[in-house]
Amino acid sequence: MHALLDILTSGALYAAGIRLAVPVFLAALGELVAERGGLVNVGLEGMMLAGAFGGVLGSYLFDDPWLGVITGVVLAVVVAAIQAGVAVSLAGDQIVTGIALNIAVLGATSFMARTVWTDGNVPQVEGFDPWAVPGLSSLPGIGDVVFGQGALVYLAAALGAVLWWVLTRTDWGLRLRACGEDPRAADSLGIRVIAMRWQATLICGALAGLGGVFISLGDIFTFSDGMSGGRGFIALAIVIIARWSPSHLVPAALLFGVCEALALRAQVTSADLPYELLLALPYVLTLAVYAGLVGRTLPPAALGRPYVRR
Amino acid sequence: MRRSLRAAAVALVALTAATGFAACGDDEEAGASSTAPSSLKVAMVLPGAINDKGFNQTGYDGLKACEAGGATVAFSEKTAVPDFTKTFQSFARDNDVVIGHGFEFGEIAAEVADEFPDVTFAVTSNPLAPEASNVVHLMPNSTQGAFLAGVAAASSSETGKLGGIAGFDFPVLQAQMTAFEAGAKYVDPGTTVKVVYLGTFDDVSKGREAAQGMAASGIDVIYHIADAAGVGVINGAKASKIKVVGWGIDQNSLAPNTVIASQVVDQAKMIQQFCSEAATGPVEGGRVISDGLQSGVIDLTKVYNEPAEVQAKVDEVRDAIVAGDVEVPSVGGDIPGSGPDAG
Repeated sequence: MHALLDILTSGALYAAGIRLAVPVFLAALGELVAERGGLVNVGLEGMMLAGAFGGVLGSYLFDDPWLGVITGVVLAVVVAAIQAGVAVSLAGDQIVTGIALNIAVLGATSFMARTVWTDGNVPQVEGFDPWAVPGLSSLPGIGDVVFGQGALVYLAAALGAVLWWVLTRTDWGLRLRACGEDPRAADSLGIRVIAMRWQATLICGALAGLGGVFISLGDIFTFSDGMSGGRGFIALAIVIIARWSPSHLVPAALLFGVCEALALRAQVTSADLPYELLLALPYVLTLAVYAGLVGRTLPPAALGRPYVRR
Repeated sequence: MRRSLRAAAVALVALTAATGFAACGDDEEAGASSTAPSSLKVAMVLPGAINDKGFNQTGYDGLKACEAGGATVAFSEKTAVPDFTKTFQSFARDNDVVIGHGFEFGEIAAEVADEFPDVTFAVTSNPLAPEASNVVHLMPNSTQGAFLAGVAAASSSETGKLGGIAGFDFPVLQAQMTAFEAGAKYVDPGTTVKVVYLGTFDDVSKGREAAQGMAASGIDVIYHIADAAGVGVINGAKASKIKVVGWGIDQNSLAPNTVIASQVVDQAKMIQQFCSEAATGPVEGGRVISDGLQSGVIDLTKVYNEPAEVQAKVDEVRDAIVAGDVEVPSVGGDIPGSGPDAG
């Protein structure tokens, strides 16, 4: 048992937790923006995968990981534009569109990987190595854990702060939330609901794409089929657990990330615990938190309902 | 309502297109065929992606070797479990040989064998004797390679702590982990081996974090059997500056300073040998073709970046295994249940 305690008190666990949490956090942040505008974006997983693929493709073609970031985000935004076109402009079923996109992207990315590289042998590309923030990283305790990460981790934190401010403190944020609560009333006040939802979906795509880029360029430096590993679906759940609040996203995503890291590390020291139980831990604990602590959640009132102007 | 119906239809079209995308690998291959009418027609069903740098890739390499040997080939990759039987049947209708790549196809082959008596079915990584007379199982003695991996890992370790990372606790994988540990203890009885299961062959991030977690606990050499997720293991080990023994193909090129050797599971060679046998006439069924270190189907690559003694030790043990002087734990013939993926 004290071996488990050793892990829980080691900074390395939390550093790993942050690494695992960041892609989920970014995708969840995007989903939050979309859902606040009234659109359930189930295509999150596909957008992450498009980002992961685009990141590697861009870094491979231009030999620069930052251009990889741009390529990944652009590809994910293209996927998001399809989602917006069908689910917002054509008022199609949001869930069906999202699921279709997930499958389409899974097939399309592996197809493209086989087209670009012979037999899909994706090479190792330039990615983001950890970059210690001067000064802050030598802080005792948390220094190395929080400030010894890759550049995309800091970018994710900054984006989290910016979007919290945009959603809660700006006119745009207020208008977007109006579109998610009562689009008809918003429309009657002159808010262009369709345009707002388009913007929210594209932002969602960009953030999910960035999360995907983090998996490929921040972690692995190559692409493999389906490498997002279902994190897009986890992000969907994280949004609900965070009660559609940007500030709650951070602890929710971190809880999941740290549990995932713990599940892998505890297997090394505590061989007597069944590994299936440990692997289920992140999901079980997240569910428990949802049931126990979160209480009643109120989604945006018009969530999932297409808006058609009369 | 009309609008949403129309949109749902659009989504449905996208969905169909997507499934088409996923299947187009075999269309291409099948389309390029039909040149020499007399050539052997071989089809393969793979559970994972042909570019996973592991189990599925070596199966695909085997199929390509068959093609180079004059056969006309087709394949289906990333085949979902519910589609196994259907894919087998459709391939059996217009091929001479249908290969299921992986233990789990044993049951499927047994199920459809009677329906297609003129077709020869082969299932890889399956140690059980098939009942049908037109089914052959190809079983590489992968534990021999795992034993050598243990020898190399223990000889290269400074801490005496080794790690094993596997996708799932499938019997074939567990057997290799057991053999790895036996190999390590053959070199140094005081060596400890910790095994972690990822619960996935695809999630590279989990592979990476598992490796980094092992490094934090003092483990300095990791042996992985995790296919695509194993690429994550190698990257995590690289970040933590520890060593890896790879699996499947020579993985040294992925991280030259990290991967000290790889267990080669050259299913390609077994499949190629099987194809050339099938090209000359009907293959005798109802048996297990087993192969290992003797023919190089199973081996350990050369040892990179380590003192010459490590290589010498590996060579010594390899000879001893081939001569029968060292006993290696085997997969055994009584694997319960079904579902294993890698071999």
